[in-house]
Amino acid sequence: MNDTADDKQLILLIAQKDSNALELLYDRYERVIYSFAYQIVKDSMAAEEVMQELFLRVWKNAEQIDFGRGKLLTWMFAVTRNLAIDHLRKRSSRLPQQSADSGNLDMIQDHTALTEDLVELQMAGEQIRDALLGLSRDQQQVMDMIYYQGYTQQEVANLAAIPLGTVKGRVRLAMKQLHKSLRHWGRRDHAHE
Amino acid sequence: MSEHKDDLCELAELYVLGALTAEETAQFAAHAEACSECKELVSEYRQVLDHLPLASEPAEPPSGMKDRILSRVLESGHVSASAPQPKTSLNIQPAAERTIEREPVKAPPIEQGLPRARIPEPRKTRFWGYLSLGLAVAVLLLIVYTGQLRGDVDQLQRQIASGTGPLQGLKVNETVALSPAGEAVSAKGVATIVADTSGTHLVIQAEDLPELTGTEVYQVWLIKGDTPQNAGTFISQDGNGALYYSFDPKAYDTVAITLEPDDGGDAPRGQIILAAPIKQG
Repeated sequence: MNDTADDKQLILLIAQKDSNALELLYDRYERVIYSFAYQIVKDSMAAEEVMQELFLRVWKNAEQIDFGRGKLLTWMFAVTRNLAIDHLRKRSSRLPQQSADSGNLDMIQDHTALTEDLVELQMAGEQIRDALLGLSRDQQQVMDMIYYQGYTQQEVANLAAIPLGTVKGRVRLAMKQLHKSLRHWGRRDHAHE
Repeated sequence: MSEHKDDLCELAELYVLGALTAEETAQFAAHAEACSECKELVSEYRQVLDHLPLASEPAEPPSGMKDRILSRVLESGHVSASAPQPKTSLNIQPAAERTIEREPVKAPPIEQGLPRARIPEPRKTRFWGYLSLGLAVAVLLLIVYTGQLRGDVDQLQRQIASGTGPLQGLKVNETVALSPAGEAVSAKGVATIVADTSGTHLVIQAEDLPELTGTEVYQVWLIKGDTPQNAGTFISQDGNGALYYSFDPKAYDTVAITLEPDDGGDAPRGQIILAAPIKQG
């Protein structure tokens, strides 16, 4: 085993309770996952708790994970978001939504294959950040409330005091714009498979 | 129907972002199964969603976080080795095999399968039974004793009130002149027996009494036959003296004043100074 082992190899070893493999996986994705968790919870202790829970699940469930190349990271991102938003809800005493949020976030089959190349991941991150900043202020607001804070469309409409149709429209335009800017990366990711 | 279909198609972005209720999610998922446009949209937006975490501003992990997390994870793994495994299959399929899920998969909570702390019930022993019974009896006795004390206090308070309050309705039953017991004694006095609602009282008043020396006192006696009853002592001032004594109504035949060496005697020890027969007490 070495640092060049891909995610699939690491998961196979982790399934055999290889702690060195777990450490390699941790080292590989610590920064990107921690940054994502922190972006949501905005608290270092809470972000650490999210990280711990994530790697606990990886450690316990590794033998059940059977994935295609490059999808472990998207799965970990999805679980991280789920855990972080749950944390936000507990912190603010928000009722857990009977929504698709946690479910969809844990869906494995539909995830995109991200590159395992950390340099490419970093470049992709910069591109997406630019794309988000390119959204209008209103679009950024609804995307932030939905994606980073886990609100439903109805909650956003209530909290932002805007019609439900407006929420839908802003989200649709934002997603189209982001997809357009990411098309290039999407093709590159698929080229890995 | 077509309008309803269009409404559902508008939910594709919100579905991917997880901004729908469970009911809305189920409706859209069912719709997208038969709507190729929505299926395609979901696939495209999924790519956006999966890349969004990379847009996070880089944050510096706290110092020592890696050691803390890995040690806790590995330790937890040992502790919960016997914990039931989650039933959820974390199967990651190639993109070509993707389908829109009807039933979202939720990762198992970490608490699942962890043993619960068990609090042992306190042991019930015979000792504790006896102790409890003893305490109960002690409490009962304390309650009774407290009741008695309260009664005594009430009685004492009544007595104090009767002793300090103004006399009312005092009635003189008998007045006798106290005569000197010998020729050498020139003293004289009066004994009065009075009664009111609180009882019977003896009032002694004497004058021209011999001067006392040392610890000497004058002592008053109520006598029935040969049995004297101590009625108290007093010290004269310039030959004058007085005494007030309450007693149970009882027949006495004599009242007498003696000169005693001190005030500690229960029976006459000294010389009788004044005396007088009485009819009643």
